Amino acid sequence: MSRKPSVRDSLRFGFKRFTGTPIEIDLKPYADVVAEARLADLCGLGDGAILERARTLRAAIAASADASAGRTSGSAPLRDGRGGMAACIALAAEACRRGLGLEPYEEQLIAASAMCSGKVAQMQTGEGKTLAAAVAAAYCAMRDGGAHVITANDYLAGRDAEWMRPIYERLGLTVASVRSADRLVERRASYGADVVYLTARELGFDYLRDGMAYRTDRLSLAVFRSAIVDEADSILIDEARVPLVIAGDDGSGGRGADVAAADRAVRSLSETVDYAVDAEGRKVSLTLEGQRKVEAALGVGGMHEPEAAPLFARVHAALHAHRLLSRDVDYVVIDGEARLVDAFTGRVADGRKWPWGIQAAVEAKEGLETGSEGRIYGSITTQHLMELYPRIAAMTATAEPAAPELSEAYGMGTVIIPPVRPSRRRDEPDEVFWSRQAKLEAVAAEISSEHGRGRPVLVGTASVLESEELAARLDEAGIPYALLNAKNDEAEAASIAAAGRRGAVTISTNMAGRGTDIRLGPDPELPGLGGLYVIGTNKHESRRIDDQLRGRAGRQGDPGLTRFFVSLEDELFARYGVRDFLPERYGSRPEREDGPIDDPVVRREINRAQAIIAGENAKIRSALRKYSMIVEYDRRYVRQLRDAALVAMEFPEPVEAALSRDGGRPVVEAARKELARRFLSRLDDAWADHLALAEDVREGIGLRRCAGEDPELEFIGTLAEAFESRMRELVDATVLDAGAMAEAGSAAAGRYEVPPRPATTWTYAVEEDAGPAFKPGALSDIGAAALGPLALPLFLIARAAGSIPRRERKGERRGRPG
Amino acid sequence: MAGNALTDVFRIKELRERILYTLTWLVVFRIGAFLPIPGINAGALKSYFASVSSQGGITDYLDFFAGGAFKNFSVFMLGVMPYISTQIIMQLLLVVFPSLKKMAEEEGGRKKIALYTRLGAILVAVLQSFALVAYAKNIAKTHPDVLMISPQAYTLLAMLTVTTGTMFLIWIGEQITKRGIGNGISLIIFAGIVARLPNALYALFSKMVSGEVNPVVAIFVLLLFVAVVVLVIFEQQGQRKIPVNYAKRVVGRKMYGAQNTYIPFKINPSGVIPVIFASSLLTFPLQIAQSLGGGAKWLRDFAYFLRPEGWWYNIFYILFIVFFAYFYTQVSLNPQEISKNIRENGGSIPGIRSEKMEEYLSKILNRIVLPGALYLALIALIPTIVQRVFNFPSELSYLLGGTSLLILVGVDLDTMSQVEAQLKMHHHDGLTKRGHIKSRNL
Repeated sequence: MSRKPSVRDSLRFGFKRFTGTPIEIDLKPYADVVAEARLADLCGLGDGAILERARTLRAAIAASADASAGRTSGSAPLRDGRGGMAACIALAAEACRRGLGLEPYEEQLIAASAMCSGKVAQMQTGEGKTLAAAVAAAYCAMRDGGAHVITANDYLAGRDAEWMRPIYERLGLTVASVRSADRLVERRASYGADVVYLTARELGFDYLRDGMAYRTDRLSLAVFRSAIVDEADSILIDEARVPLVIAGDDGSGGRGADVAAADRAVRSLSETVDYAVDAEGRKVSLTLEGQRKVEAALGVGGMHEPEAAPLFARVHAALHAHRLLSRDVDYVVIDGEARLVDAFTGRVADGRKWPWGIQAAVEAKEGLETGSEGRIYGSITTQHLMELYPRIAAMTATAEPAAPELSEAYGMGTVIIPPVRPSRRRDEPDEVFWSRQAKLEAVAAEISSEHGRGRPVLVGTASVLESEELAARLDEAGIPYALLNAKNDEAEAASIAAAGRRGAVTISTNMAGRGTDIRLGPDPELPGLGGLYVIGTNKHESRRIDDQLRGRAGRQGDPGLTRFFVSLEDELFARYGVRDFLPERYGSRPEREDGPIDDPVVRREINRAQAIIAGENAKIRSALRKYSMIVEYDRRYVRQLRDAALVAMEFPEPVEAALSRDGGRPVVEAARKELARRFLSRLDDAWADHLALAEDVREGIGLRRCAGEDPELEFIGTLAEAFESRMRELVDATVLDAGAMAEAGSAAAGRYEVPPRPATTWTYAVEEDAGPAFKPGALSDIGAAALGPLALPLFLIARAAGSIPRRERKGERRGRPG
Repeated sequence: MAGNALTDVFRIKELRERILYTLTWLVVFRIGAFLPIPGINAGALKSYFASVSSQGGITDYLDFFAGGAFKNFSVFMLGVMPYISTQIIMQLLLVVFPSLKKMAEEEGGRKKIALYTRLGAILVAVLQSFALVAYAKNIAKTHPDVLMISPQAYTLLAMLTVTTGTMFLIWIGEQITKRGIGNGISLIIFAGIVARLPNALYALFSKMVSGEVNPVVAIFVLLLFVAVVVLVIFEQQGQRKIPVNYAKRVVGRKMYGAQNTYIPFKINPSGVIPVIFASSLLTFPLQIAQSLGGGAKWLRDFAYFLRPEGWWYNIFYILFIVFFAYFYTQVSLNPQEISKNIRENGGSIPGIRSEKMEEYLSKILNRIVLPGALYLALIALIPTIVQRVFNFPSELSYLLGGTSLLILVGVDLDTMSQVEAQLKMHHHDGLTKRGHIKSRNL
């Protein structure tokens, strides 16, 4: 195949380049590496010789990496300019042939080469990303002394590690996976491997838990060297918004009565009269009327009174739970517990809760036992987690729309890898319906006709609720189906394995979107029937997620068909108010409510609604990135202090000075240990307080715009000052302890009770918003200054054209007679 | 302390690089401001401007914003004005056309809008440069030595260079905003104003030498200038803080951010805007009257009546400033909107019943705005007073005036707070034993 980009692509992306989109379509640099790798003739070598070569190469690559980083090491650095990339790819390809019996495609190796250079490789679904990642990971592990492959879920982490093991072993590399069920001992062992497969969640929580450890043997020892991120747009962009939070019981239970009272008070309220939901459907607030009702119901004064404020906070949480969160959409109730459903993956998110009392409010709403709300001990956003790696590379099928953001946030360029075989998938235009009922009706009819022909059908629904509604319709029609959602995810592997068989109907939530490999069954007639038919019943918040669902069909050159059935009543379009933008002829309701609306204007509005929501999300992410920066800086600093005290029992300068003060007796080991214990305890406490402060300050910082101040800068200033004084207090307290210990020469220095550690910990999934988006006055100071000269060009043109006779100024007139 | 902060600024590598980057580009801007359009005789032009010695006229106004590049007929003679004009037009269009606003909200929409603004700026620059070309040709009618090439060639060359120069300047401004420190566009205007100070001081010095200005008076006025700067800074920083409580915070734990959550009302919420509105509103009819008034006596009378040195001009000036200060505050700090925003986020003002929030905020704003506006008027009047009472050169008194001082102080404070934020961000760099924390996206 040709390595040169087509003229059409050159034009398309050439223009994008011109406008600053970081997309590469010229594959030459990567293809050159692969061509060089092809030159190496390894067929004749025995397995032992391959292993030996890999060992030598590893030492040489590491030496090159060290040399370029200014370190010296034993082996001589490589001189090929690419740090042994070609040699490594050649070995890995050979290992793949022997270990897996697979001949890697040129495209896979090119993708691997791009990833070795720190790029995002866009590979179509079914093009063998796993293998490309393994080749790249082998190189990264040799170069950086270890590599993590970040997978989309636990299942993939385990599967891919085992699947790719033969490759790594033939190269003398160890491989392991970390999954959520693994215990600490297992994790420690796994993290010791050269290549580790795991999810960003597992990694993040191990990292956060390490940041709370009191003993070195409680550390998971996750080290950040280099990472290959699968499903890059999902993990680096969509999920980057969800901070990983580790929270613990702060013993603040026992407010169940308040929660229940708030829940009762909210139940009698009605929308628009008593409370209002904002346009984006993210916030709900009481109206004045609602406030009066709540005051009466709870028998308290207004929310402006300090005593009543906490109760009103519960009321807001209860409103949020009742109005903005729906059972079987945002959460499911299993075994008497309200369990959150991850919006992106459609799976139950284990150990996740909502913050700010919303979890308790949901539990009250469902009549469950309400738990404690807890205190946040540590948090990190996925983006900052990924930034802990000195080097990252990534891959996904939908990198192109995300390329600008990947570049802005991570400085990564995107390389588009052409498919091995051109796709035979057909994407039909959307079918748009007025009502949800009509839409589901049409979907059921479509399934029944396709099922009758024997074609396998996969349906991607928006929520557990919708999947069950559709299932009920199919029951009526007597069509057999497999149901896959957060409530019965144990059947996942079996459902997916069967989904490509003749006549199979699989109804799923987002679970069958990203990363699911549906192979057509063995029946030779299947391609003739048109392959897998993917039906989407909803548009998602980003077109990338739609594309991922479409990508389930037509894998590896198979035929396939995709189509979305949507209705104007869908949550996404209702939220955006698509109906308000429709042309007059759809004034109130169409004559035929059940038929499809075949109108380009409607389709355009639908696409636009999706684009706007994606834009809003991008804006929120960008704001979050800015706000999280200062906290992240402080967090890294705290972590450095913590690690030094925990591992090496070293303390900040003033403490060390107090310990080694003249006249004091030498401090015994036990004293240092005790001091470290106190220091860590105080540090964790201070950090938890600081996190709480950051959250509080951010919420109200938008108000600073009233004074024309930049909220971001104000946020940084406020937090930096608070942090500094906190650190000073911390160091002062530790200096006192150290001084006392130095005097006594022992650990006995006054009584200090280390506060109890949280008994249980869980994680929060916070859909954060960027605080009140309050924008007074659009004009800037200097902007207004331009209003004057604005009229000037017209004036001067008129004058030049002679329509306004020019009149000399006084001085000039005097100088010229006549 | 100040010295300490200054060394800190240069100790932190990133901040140092940003500042040097900004300064480099500002130097480029200043060099360009002296680079005349090809075909123009700069010397002849200078003598022409000297001969017409306008006061407070529109050329001075433009020259003021272009940092002196206007009267030089330099490639940067339009300054960044076309860009700012287009930005404002774009803001207005966004309000007028909902479909455009929708597009702006789409993914990548802001980039599109930025692109359109830049394209619009090219258009405005072409229009304005055409007007300026015509202006120069007009001068050439009476002073033929100003043009050194044929008018046709000049028209093309001048439009091309001025438009390119303007776009280049915009690019510089954006680069500074992105990779330097402060807002690049504001800094370019700022640099232009500051760059004129030495010249103005020289003019003052010449007048002292020639005996037109008494040196004692000059020193007194310069001291006065320092005092006014202090006043302006004081006024810009003055705030009334109204505490706000958000419901989310009160759940489950102590309230941490209480003293950090407040509505800040500035003494002068509208900044320099009322002054600029008032002065452009007054000078514009004046300019037109002067241009048209050749034949009609009443126009001449009007121009005389509204002369900037006269009483009426200054009385209207004060009235307009106060009016615009009120007007702008009403538009930008609408108590209804602020209250709505607070309520939507579940907030309340401690001690004020929710339904009384608007009333309470209006009361406070009304109390603040009048003294703030009078203060502003006083600062704005200073150049006229200085010029009249002490016979100061107009270049200098303009620089001492309200518009320039408010811009200078405003941009300065903004830039300082950015530097400060950077400093704070890095406050513990180098404090740990293991060396600096790597910073990636800053």
